[in-house]
Amino acid sequence: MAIPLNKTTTASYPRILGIRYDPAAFTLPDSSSAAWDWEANAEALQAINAAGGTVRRINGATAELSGLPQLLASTDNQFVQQHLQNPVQGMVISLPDRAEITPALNLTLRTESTLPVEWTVWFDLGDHSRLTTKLTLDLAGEVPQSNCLIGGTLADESNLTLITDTQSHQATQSLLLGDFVSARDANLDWSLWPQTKGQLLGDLNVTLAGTGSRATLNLARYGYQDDWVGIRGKIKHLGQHTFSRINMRGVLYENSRVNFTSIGQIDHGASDADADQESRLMTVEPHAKGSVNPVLVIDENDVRAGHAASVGQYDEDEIYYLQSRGLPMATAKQILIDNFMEPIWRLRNGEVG
Amino acid sequence: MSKLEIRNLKVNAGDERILNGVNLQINPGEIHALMGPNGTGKSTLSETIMGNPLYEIVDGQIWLDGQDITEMSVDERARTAVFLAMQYPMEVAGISNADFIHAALNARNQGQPVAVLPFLKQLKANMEFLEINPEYADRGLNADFSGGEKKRNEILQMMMLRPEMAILDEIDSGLDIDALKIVAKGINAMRSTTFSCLMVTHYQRLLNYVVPDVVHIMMDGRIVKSGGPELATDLEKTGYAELEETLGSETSHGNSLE
Ligand SMILES: Nc1ncnc2c1ncn2[C@@H]1O[C@H](COP(=O)(O)OP(=O)(O)O)[C@@H](O)[C@H]1O
Ligand SMILES: [Mg+2]
Repeated sequence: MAIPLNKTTTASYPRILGIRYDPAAFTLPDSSSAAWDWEANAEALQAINAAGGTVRRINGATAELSGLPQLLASTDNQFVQQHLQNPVQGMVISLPDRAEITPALNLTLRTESTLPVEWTVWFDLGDHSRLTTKLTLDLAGEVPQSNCLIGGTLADESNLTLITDTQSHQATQSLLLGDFVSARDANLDWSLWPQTKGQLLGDLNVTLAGTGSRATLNLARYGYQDDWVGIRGKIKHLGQHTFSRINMRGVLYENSRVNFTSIGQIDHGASDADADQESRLMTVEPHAKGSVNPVLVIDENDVRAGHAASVGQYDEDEIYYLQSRGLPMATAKQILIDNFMEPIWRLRNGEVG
Repeated sequence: MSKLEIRNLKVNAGDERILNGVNLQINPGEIHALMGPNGTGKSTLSETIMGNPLYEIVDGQIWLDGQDITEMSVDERARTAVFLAMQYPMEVAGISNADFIHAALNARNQGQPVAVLPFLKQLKANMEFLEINPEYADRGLNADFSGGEKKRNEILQMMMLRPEMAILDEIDSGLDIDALKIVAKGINAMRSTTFSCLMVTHYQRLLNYVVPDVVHIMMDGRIVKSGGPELATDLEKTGYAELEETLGSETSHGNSLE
């Protein structure tokens, strides 16, 4: 049974430029009752508790979560709406004002279920708070479908460094939704490695609402046999002096399909905004295919914006150079693949360290 | 020990004939210089010996110690004996210089890992010898190196990999005199009865510091003259144009496709 949709809103499935997909494939048939667990490192949990913050599991309630009802009311994304109309399952991480947490929070959600999984991981960061989180979503069972929403609100001058790895043991249909709103001078560094097998549709949104807020979205994906991946990253500039970077890279093996769309949107009034994006795909094998669609939507004059994009094989001249030192083809290729992904790993590791 | 023999080598690049029957023999322990005007096929010859897939052998053979290497892949040739210092070395930022050289040594060692500590010690010694900043070991391979630094890095790789047969394609281009002396020092350090070398150069300058056993002049895809080091000195005085004139009757102009 499909979920009854809220007919009173104008929500629709996101039109992900350049990415053709079937919404039905990513709509969960019913509300999830899959069993799941979470774990986190005690050191970070203690530090968060000591600072007056919480890390807790939620089963159902949405009203108490800062930003979620607003998201439900305002979203034009039907997937988000469907997600939020079901009882919310997942984790909430909240920090009061001025809570600066030094140890990184290593948070893992894991299921060994054979049922569809629906998770929300929601961050609620107070003024001047600071947190680094490594979030792992592990679909360890034979999960046929998953729908995960990661997002939250970042209050004035707060700082969230978020590293998100998703993985599945089997081919699955995964929907990955992101929705962050950041206030004045808040900063979000989000590095994602969504590595679930099978079909993956991603729609990652950040709204730079406050003056001087900043966001960076880094994403790496390896495509293997029968993988289909479509990911859109969008950063919307509302505030003045806002800053955004989107970096996406994919390496495509076998018959995989990977499509990236990146959108930098600068609304009227967001003067002195700075938006830049770079999306690149490397097709390692001839049957792999992919596309990148960088988009800038600019409704303000006084801005800086740019994009770079490419889809291509590794460089034959570089392979030749490496081979000329005695490295076999496979080793030479691997070096170039790692070289290609290196900028994303560097950003990701820089954030941890 | 490596003896290189090239017989009647004809090579196409794209659809164009570039080498028109090159004959060349380099005995173990010898250093040969290959000179000639731009565009005559010196790099084509170097790349063909290494096995660059952009160049197609249409006739002739390349023998190394009695074995025809023309059917071998690039990496096989490298592991067997051949090293090519390229005119334009590639930048690969994602692997460090040290890791790259170590990987290349491992590949030559039948895939057995080469012990790290002695390797690092040797690398450090060679870098000092070539006056390369020690920090460059951890930098990406050739990444943001100046032209001269790349050339020196090619010599470093040669010293680390210790090939039996090295081809140095315009290793002297873009070097100031101090850098040239350092590069020459590196080549001279390799000199031994088990090392042979083909130095491709446009200018005589390098040959003041690395004195070759034999000098060859290439024009229009052929070796048109061979001799001792004095050939290079003479050439420096007269220039290629005059040589071309004196050889006029012997040289086939216009790259006739036979
Ligand atoms: N990959 C290639 N494809 C097509 N033409 C080439 C290629 N490489 C070299 N050539 C041509 O072959 C000729 C000889 O070039 P090259 O071997 O680089 O000369 P040299 O090294 O003596 O300056 C030139 O006319 C050059 O344009
Ligand atoms: Mg050349």
